Order: sequence, then structure tokens, then C-alpha cells
Amino acid sequence: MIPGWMKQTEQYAPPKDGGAFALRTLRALGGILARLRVQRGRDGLKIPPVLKLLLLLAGIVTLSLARKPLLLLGIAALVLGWVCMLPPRTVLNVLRPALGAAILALALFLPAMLLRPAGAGNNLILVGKVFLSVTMVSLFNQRTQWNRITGALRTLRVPGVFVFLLDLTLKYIVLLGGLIVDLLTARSLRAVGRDRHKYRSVGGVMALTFLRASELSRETWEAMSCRGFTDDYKGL
Amino acid sequence: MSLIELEHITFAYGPEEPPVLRDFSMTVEAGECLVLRGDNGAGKTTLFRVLNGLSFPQEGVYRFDGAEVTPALLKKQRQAKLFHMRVGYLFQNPDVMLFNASVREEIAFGPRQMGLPEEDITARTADCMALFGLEPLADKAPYHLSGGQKKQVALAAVLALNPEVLILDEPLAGLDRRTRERLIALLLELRQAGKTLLIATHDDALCQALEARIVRLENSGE
Repeated sequence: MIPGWMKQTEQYAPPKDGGAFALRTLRALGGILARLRVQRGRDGLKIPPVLKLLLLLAGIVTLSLARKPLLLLGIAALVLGWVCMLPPRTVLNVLRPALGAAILALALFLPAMLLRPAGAGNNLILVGKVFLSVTMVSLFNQRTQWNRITGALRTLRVPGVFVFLLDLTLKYIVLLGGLIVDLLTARSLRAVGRDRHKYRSVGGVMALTFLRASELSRETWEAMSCRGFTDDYKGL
Repeated sequence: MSLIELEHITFAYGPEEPPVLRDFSMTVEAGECLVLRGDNGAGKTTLFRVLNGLSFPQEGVYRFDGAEVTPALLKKQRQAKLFHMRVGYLFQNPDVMLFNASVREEIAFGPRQMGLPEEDITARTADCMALFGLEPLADKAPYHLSGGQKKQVALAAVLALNPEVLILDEPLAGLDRRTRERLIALLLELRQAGKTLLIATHDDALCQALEARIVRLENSGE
């Protein structure tokens, strides 16, 4: 038998609520984690993933060793030229982390540049290197599906157990990121008034995420044991 | 004017993804009971996300009580809270709905948000626990409950807000026979009390008991 109040229409005017910084931050973090392993679309130029991986490694090493500004400009022209051929949304996804990293690097170098203006040129070159390195990694990540990346790592004879752990770790980071987003979404649907205990919710979400992580790890271990895993990983 | 109006809704999860909902239209009157049926992946949960303002269609219009539900509308804090107050949503996976330290706190979360006096919060929480016989679990952590118990706690937590519209995604999945029967009787009572019910289910007994209008979703991506 449902109670009387449930038969009546609720007369309710929601009050203004503020100060949800911790919740917003946690939600943003969860969103980033959940998107880590989104399977990208087509690979565009159809370059084999192994070649892409080798090009990426070679590009980063060359960039790190490059001293002459002309060489740096050449690499920048190549990388940015490649980025220009991508759809606008992908360009944004590639350049956003690169610009973020470059700004962070600039902020770190700024005191040195102000104290020793003579070395500012070298510092700017380093900022440029950071920008280009992150752009290359981001470009590779945006245009290569994760399963192809692990395939490429296997082709390059990276130990199977390393690839397996990498794959599993990423999978669960994504799952837990999704869980954080879902928990906060469900909370927001019921947060219809002024919440004076927001940090209690944040604590609850974080505690649940840790509990779930521990449970997932135990379940994975049990599932692997049931399929005959005996601590000796044999890769494909 | 219908309570819920969907006009030519098209929704896809990404620009390169096929639409999950394609040119979908539907109206729901206040106090009506509607059951959504369809194969896995037909778009039932997606439709519920649209109805709850969690996803927004790329094309088409969604009106709730005459007001168009848009990202701009739900960015206004008061409008969003009032909308979520009126529309209660039971997720398919109750795990994502339970984040409090005990069942009692979980159910009291909504009424506490509404700023009700402490005695009303206690009364509402007790009423909602009684509906599902959850009293023995009151001080247990929801995380440690079984799947069926979690579903009941999640529904009790939604009901504690007393929403006009209840959107329930597979409410009977994972429940034993006795709990199913109890839940069907409760939904029937809620229907008689004038609540608008939108339910995704594969359960024929529930459709018959509620004498619900059935809407069948077909896989539009195929």
C-alpha cells in the first residue's frame, strides 16, 4: 500500500545550489578516463600501425636530439601539415592536449626565461619540442585503434605479458572512469535541492570506485584461474 | 497538451555512428502507462536517456509539459532540478545509483536534498523501505547487497522524491518471483495514483497487469 504523500503532486521550488567544484572536477576526471580507449574511426592514410609506431618513435627521438631550429621547423611543418588534413573535430582533439602541455612547459620555463633572458631562445625551443612531441603522440592515438596498437607492439616483439597488462590496465581504467561518470550522473538526477554535504557524495563515489576496482581485479583473477591460468602468461 | 512529446527524434552516439533512434515520434499523456519493447540495442535505454535530459537528439524536438527540453534549459540550475524532481529514473544497472554509506542514507538522500524537515525525511525513508521490506537492510552498505536488493533500494530512492513520471529501465530484471509480484503490485498502485509510467521490459505479466500501451522499438541502425 503506497503512502498518502506518494499520491499527491509534490509542491516544490528548488533552491539555488552552488559550490559543486569537487563534483565537477571528479566528473571531468571520470570523463577523461572513460574516453581513453574509445575506438577511433578509420585510419585515414591506411599506414600500417607498426610503421606508424616506428615513425612515432623515430619522430620523438629525432625531435629530442634536434639542435638546429631549421630541423625543428621542418618536423613542425610535417606534423602540422598532417594535422591539417584531418577533420576539424580531430584537429581539435589532437591540438588541445598539445597546447595544454606547451602552456604548462612555458609556465615552468617562465621564471628561468625572466631570470636569464639570454637563454630564452633555448627554452622556447624546448617548449616547441614538447608541443610537437605531444601532437605526434596525440595524432597517433587519434588515428589508430587501440587493438591495432597492441597488435603493433606484439609485432615489434614487446613481451606478451607487458602488452596484456597494458591492455587490461587501460580496459579497467576506462571501466572505472565510466563508473564515476555514471555514478555522478545518477546522483545529479536525485540532487534536486541544496546539498550541504557534497563532499560526502564525492567520498562515496571515490570509495565505490576503489571497491569496484578491487572487485574487478579479483574477478579477473578468478576468471583467469578458472580458464587454467597459472601465473605463466603465454602471449599470442 | 501531452505531458511528453517527442517529434521526429534522431539520435546517434557520434557523427560516424549509425543513429540509434531515427525519426522517432511519440506522445505520452499524464497518468498513462507505456511499455517499451524491443530487441537488445533497439534504443530503449537511449530513448530513456533522452527523456531524462541526459542525451540530446541531433534532430527533432522533445517537450516535457509544453517546454522544450534542450541543453540550454537544463543548464539553468533551477529548471534542471525541477525537471529531475518531476521525472524519476531507475537505471538498468542499479550499481551506478547507489553511492551512500547505508540503505537508509541512500533513500533519505532525495528528501534531504528537498530540504524537508527531519521528521518528514525519516517518515518518507521508512515508508519507502516498507514498500520493499528493506527495513532489515537499513544500516547495510548498498554496495554489499545482492543485485535484486540493489534494484529495490535504487527504486525506493527514486520513489522517495515522489516524481510525477517514473522511467524504469528493466525494473524486473534479476528479481525473484516474490519480489517481482510485489513490484508489479506496487507499480499498479502507482499507476492508479496517477503516476505516469514508462517502462522498458520484456515481461509479459507486467504489461498485462498494468494494461499498458506498448511501443515497439526496431533496430534503426540495421
